[in-house]
Amino acid sequence: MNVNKESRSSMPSECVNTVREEFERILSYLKLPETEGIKERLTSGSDQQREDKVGEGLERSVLLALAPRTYEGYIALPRALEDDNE
Amino acid sequence: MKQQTVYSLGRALRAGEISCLALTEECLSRIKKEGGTQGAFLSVLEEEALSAARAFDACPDYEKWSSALAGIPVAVKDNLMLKGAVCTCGSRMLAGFVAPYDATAVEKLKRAGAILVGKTNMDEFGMGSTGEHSAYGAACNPLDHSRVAGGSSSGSAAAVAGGSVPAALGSDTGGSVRLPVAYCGIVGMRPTYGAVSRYGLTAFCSSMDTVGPITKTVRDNALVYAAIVGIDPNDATGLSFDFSVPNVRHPIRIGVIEELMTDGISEEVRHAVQQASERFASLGMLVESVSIPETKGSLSAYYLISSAEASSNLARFDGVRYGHRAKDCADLGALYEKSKSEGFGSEVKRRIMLGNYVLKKENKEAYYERSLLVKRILRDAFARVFESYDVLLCPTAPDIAPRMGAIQTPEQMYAIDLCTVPMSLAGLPALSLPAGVTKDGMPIGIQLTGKAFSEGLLYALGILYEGGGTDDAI
Amino acid sequence: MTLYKGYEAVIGLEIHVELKTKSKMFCACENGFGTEPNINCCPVCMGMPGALPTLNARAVDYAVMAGLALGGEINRLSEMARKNYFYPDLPKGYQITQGKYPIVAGGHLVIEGKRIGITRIHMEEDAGKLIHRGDLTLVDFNRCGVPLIEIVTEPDIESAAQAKAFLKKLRTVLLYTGISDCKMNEGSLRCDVNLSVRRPGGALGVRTEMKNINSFSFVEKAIEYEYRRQVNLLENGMTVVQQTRRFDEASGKTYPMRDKENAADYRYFPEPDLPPVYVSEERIESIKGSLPILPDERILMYEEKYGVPAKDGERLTALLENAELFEAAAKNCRYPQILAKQMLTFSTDAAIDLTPAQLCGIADLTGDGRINSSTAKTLLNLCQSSDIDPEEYAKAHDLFQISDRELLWQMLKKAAEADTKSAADYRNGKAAAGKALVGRVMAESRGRADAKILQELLQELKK
Repeated sequence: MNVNKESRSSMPSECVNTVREEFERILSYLKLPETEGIKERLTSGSDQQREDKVGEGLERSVLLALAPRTYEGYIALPRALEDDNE
Repeated sequence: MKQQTVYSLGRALRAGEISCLALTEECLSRIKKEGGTQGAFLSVLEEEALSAARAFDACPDYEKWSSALAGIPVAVKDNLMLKGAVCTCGSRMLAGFVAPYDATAVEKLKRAGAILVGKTNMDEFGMGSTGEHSAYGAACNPLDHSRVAGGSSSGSAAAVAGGSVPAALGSDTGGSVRLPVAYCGIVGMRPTYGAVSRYGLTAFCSSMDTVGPITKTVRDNALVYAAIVGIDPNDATGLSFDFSVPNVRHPIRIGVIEELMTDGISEEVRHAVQQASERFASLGMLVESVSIPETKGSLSAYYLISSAEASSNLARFDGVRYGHRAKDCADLGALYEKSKSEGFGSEVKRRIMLGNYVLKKENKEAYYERSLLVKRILRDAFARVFESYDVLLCPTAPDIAPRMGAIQTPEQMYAIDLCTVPMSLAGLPALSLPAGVTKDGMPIGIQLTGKAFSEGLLYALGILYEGGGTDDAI
Repeated sequence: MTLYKGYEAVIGLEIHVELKTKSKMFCACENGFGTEPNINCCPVCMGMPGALPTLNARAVDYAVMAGLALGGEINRLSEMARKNYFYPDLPKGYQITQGKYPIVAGGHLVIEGKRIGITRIHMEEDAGKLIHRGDLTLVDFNRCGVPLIEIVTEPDIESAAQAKAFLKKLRTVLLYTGISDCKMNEGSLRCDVNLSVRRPGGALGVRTEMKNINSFSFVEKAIEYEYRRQVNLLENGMTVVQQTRRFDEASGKTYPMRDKENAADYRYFPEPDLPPVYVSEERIESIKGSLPILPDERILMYEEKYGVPAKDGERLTALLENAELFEAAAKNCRYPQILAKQMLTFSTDAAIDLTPAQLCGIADLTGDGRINSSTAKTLLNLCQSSDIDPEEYAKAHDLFQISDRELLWQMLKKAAEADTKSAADYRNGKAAAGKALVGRVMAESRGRADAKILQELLQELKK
């Protein structure tokens, strides 16, 4: 089992083991009843779909004001990444 | 003010007995005085509220009395976007985050003339049943400060029960409106899924999240509900319904859910539900016990589905575009890991972990997909029961508000949701209202559930139960 | 097809196509290139807390259109799903796409007689863009939420050339429907290649995936390289590792991408913010009605009605504009085969800028023998982006073909007198010398001499 990446960095290893124990305990607590022979299916859909129209967005300044760091209208990451996405 | 309702304050405003400014000022001073000790509020919108109140008073009469909420101070749970106000969702992750837009429910309150006075405390991102999982400290129960207010809409319930505001908005995923109102002795509604827009409500579990009113009386609750209900082009999961269609038979048949009246429920709570049954019977309704064995898997299915969705919904809090960004990150992995480690609290981390686990390729069928089946079985079971009954009655919580710190393990906390999660899974409306107190004087809540969009019927029954709608008699 | 060291390639493509809607897939932001970064953004496409997606109906129509054009089955009910992974250009931490229930199932294209199956077509949203500048990585979300369809083929493709032909045909069909610009260089058409190798008739090998290739020729090169790389690995007793690889345009080689791309479990689950997508029978019928006649049908029609061979038809229909031009000109033209040949002297990748009347006029003049092919060529060029009437122009500039046998005989004799050496050589059996004489006549007649008659006369000159 992959103990969560989110919390690992802030925890010493004995903590990770405690987390695992607790995690497994919770999983067994949340035991599901039998569901044999029943199928989940797509039942109904919506035809309430949006028109293809351009509406008012938010001011860019409002959106950028929330960012931890910006640079010339871009949102900046703390460090350069390897250039393998483009 | 402390005991006054939306209805009575509205009447006073209309009669010119009190100005909106005076009312708002009184409200703000109560928030400062009592809110401070209760921990009900995360931010107070003093300037904005006062200027809105002044504008309201200056507004010509024919414009401002369009709704029952006109001029009424209202508080909003801190996971709802209120443009220009800090929105933390009870998390360090969003400390100082200023909402760039209004949630639809908030916008509707504004349009109804309500004065928005503050944002209320909550369990982080709605994950908690006691209010103790707020990064900003637990809101305490106004009736007994050594006890919790309940969660996750802890601040909204505490603010209304404590008399700081006559009404507040909460959100209910697995019981987050119903539990705290039951613990605080007031009224809360979880609307039918899709009745109130979720646009602007920070998602915890998208398929079960709802926005619901918290008030002192059932009538007040209906007034707030009327202001926020309705289809919204920004929420594709919204459903429209013609509430004017009468769908009630005579006599009204009430079923008391057997499985929620067993050992897991405290004796005093069961007694209160029995007394409520008798009261409904004395009002001319047919009350009998009904078994819904399918409710048994609810708690597991609820926690597995909601954690799965939460793990995805909370992925956006990555420190890139807004919110907490950890300092000195060597690379992208560190940015994510450190920002999330520092930003999220323990319960949120636990659910993200659980959610990721149940969605993993090798686990998905056994956990996530089977939970969906449990949910479907439960929905079908409710549909079957509603062929014979109009309304179902059960406790809201297994017991009264626990003492601060008494809930030690996650399982103990999850068990609190026993009576509220079945309705969440089935997408049904559920009204929690006070039904007496224990020997210690702590309130007990009962829960009325109906078919989808039966809110009108639930409110009508609630008002009857309360004593026929003589509003000021609380 | 020649096999490399006796191995065959098994190739499947995944093609991403940006849809030309006005607004984005899930919000009302403009779908367009921003002049400035982060200008076409809103809480929805920036993944702000509480923001919810709403589905663009036009994007659904376009996906249906693609499905119909490619012979697929439209699912009345389909489902949006979340694909969960972390990357800074993905604001929500998941991409809204389709998983188990895509909008289109099946379909195919026929490439040079071979049927290439299409597994599915699904709808999804594009991610933002990362810009690398010095020691900074910057994010622009303008492209984030732009509607895409992903077309997934069966592993039916056997070679780089076939992959390229498939892509070209696919682009043609999509351009006909008008749902996308399909510009590979601008990223509105992007291709991922899945490739494995095996001995003919043997079990399927381990496949690798090459992502985001952005030109037809790079697709070809990437396949050629990867095919040989895998074969050489196996030949040297090594194994192919299942992984995602990146095609490097400069070196023409493929390289493995970082592990995160390879170990991913996307934890798909149905998108709870959007109800299942419903497309009614009536809506499908109305979209069907709005589709233009597709290339294959036109090619057949050209063959049956005008006697234009399928190979020429394929090229004539590569662009809808040219197909329509051909049809408009052919309607009144007495020599549609000549018309087709003359149109094919132009590049078929661009719209031919002549009017139907001009094309029809030149073909008829040629067919009637009133102008020869070199004059026709001159006129075709002259008429481009002008309103010249070819017949009047030919008349005014005296361009009609000289078919008068006597006159041509005189001209040829004159040429033979002027160039006695060539005449002598020709009479002595040197065919090439005859060409020089013809050249003289052509020059003398300003290219108007009837080449066929001239050839006959040349034979007579021997006697």
